[in-house]
Amino acid sequence: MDLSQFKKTFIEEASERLTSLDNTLIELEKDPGNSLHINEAFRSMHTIKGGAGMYGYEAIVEVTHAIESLYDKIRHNHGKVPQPLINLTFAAADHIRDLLEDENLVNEGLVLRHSELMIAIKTMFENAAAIIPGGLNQEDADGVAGNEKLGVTNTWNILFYPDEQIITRAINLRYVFHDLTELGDCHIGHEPYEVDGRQAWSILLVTNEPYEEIESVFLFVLDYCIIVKLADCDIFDPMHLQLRDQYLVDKDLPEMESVQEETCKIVSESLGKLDAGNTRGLVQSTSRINVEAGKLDHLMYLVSELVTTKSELILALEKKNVDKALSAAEKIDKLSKLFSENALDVRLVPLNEMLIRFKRLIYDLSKYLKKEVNFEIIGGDTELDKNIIDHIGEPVMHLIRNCIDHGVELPEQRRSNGKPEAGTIRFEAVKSGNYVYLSISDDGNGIDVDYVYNKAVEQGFVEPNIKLSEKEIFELIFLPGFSTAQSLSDISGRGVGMDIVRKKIQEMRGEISIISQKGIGTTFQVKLQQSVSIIETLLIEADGVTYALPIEDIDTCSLDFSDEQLSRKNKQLGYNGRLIPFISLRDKFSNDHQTGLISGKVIIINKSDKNYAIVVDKIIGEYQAVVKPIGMAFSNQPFLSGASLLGDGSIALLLDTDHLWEEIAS
Amino acid sequence: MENVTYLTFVLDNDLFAVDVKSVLEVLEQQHITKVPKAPEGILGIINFRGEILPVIDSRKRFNLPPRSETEKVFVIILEVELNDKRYLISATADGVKGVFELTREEVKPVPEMGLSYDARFISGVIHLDGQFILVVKPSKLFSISDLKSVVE
Repeated sequence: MDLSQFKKTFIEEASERLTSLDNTLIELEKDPGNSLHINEAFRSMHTIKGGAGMYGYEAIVEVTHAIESLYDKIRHNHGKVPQPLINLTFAAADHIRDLLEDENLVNEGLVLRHSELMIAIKTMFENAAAIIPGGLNQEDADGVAGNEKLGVTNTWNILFYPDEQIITRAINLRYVFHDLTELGDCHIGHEPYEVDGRQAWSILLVTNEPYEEIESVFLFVLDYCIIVKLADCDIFDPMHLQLRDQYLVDKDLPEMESVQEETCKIVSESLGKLDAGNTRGLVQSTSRINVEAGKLDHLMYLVSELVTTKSELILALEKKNVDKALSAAEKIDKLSKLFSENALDVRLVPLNEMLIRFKRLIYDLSKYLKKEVNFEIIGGDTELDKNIIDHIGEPVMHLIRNCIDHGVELPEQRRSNGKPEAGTIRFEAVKSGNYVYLSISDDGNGIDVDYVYNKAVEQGFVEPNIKLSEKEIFELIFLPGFSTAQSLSDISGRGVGMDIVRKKIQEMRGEISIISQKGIGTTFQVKLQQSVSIIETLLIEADGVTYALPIEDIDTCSLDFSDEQLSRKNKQLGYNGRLIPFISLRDKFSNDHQTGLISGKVIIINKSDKNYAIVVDKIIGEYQAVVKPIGMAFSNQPFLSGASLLGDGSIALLLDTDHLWEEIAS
Repeated sequence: MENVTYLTFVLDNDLFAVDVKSVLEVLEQQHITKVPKAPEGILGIINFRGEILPVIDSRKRFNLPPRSETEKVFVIILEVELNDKRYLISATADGVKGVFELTREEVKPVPEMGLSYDARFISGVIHLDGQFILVVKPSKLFSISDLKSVVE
């Protein structure tokens, strides 16, 4: 068996767990007493610990075990999660991410941070011991889950939240309850009761078995359970009636809140420093993909259809029944189209999977900049091709960073401007046809048009005295090397600039533009193709080579111009009453540099405000092209964005109209 | 004793050999799609089982005079391993001679002198029936930029 494969899966799953842990912590910060979230945090650590132990990540086991014990303590005592522990857990999550990449602790800084973290956790344990009733004995500080002694009768309260998933996972609850009754006296409440908006069954268990035994009974349904120790005795024993009342009153236990802030000062400090511009975990591309079951059902249906039709075809051919064979062939043709649609559909991933990672970034960044930011997501279930999702993360993140850093003002300033103290960053996604439109907006102070213009003049990007429209001034922001920052800030000063953002988006055949109003806010609009693997193209020919042009970039085609018009020295054509530049593919790309014969068909390109003409030898017709990469060998030909196989096995080169324009300009 | 099977091919008037383990297929008279402004030494691209592969001009790599347009051309599809990744690559040949088996000992080290080719591409020399055959190291013949990743 190939263990490395499992290890890879473990790393991927652990990263996913950490991402959801981040979000749980953000929720916990708002509602520190929420038992569901506390349990979730515990469970995340516990799951990672299990996997880490199996694959030999000793350091991770140590951290997760210690943190897990802290959360375990809180959930057993119905406590609240203090802020220092949330910070500590954030730091631990980041630390685990690093450890996943460096399992043997090669990096010395990591070793140092590891011991710092462990000290911080230990300190917290010691402080917590003073506050939590009953205290934590040394055993606990070393991380043993419960403090019950073997053989002593305890009463446990198990809150069980039955979930639909139990049925889909085919877990037989009968065995669970059977095993539970084996442990001891089991009292199950007859009415389900509601906790945090969810239905729960309350089970009271009197047993002298340790906590681990109870956990092992619920092993497969632990995610839906909260196990809490009620008392160190059998509360149903009439001898202990008085004790029971006391325990039930004590259930409203004091909180861990007063744990000194200093406890993990070191860690929180390094947290702020580390994560201000941290991109870790945001641009991860996973090799696995979650597919909606319905899509797979449809695929199975198609497969069965294909198998039947194939038999029909074979039968028809054996009997030499041409009519039947033709109809079967037609059916296969139809099926192949459905297959390709299904394949593209399976590749679509909802944006939420990417956005869920952004919450942590926004949390860290707004803390670091001392700003208050609400993050709103609209249309998070909009789907995009996995390839695009993998590549869009970084540019979108940069846009969000820009919004927080440059857009949203400090709370005091917002108040004096009559705005709510917390700024809002809104991520909106809408699908329309084959496109997905994203808009990332803030309600901050907007872009100062005059300031940008002056900066551009100052830095020599614009000649003084040249008047620019507002739109043109916003375009300046995308120029390479152009910077409006007064001081190079920690956040936007590093990483990619707006020119890279635009480049990345263009690589995915997308577009980006800015709308901004001073004092009101800024919106970045991104237009993306939902799927880039199949595009509608127009096939053309020049100098014996077949090219494919994306149809959406074409304004008009098949215009005839005379030789005379095309041999003009200025390389400009009159079109719709204005002059536009043209490029002759034969002229530009021919190896033997024959000039003279350039007459041919003219195609007018209209792509994001760029208007130019392409002269080709022949227009072949429309073609639905499956785009394939042409490989690194041609990285110096950016005007080719890929290639596509034609029906006869020959190859058409896919032209990139943006880069072709740059070829003209050069 | 370990035997190695070699495929021999012709370039200009010289014989070359490559370990058949790295040869996937030999295509005859394959149409090569020209790519405008292609880097030097790359003739164009071909469609190999639905994958698009760049075609290396072997004559150019070995500093041999260019082939005349009318001459027949073979394309050898090679699979090479580089940094633990498998890549597919194709290279031209004027002709393919055949396959023969040898023990490793019969492959002699490359002489330091008297070689008109770049010695980096050659892993050894075979002396067979009065003729020298140069054994080509496929992974060295092509730079990483020529290669195209194979989906594993």
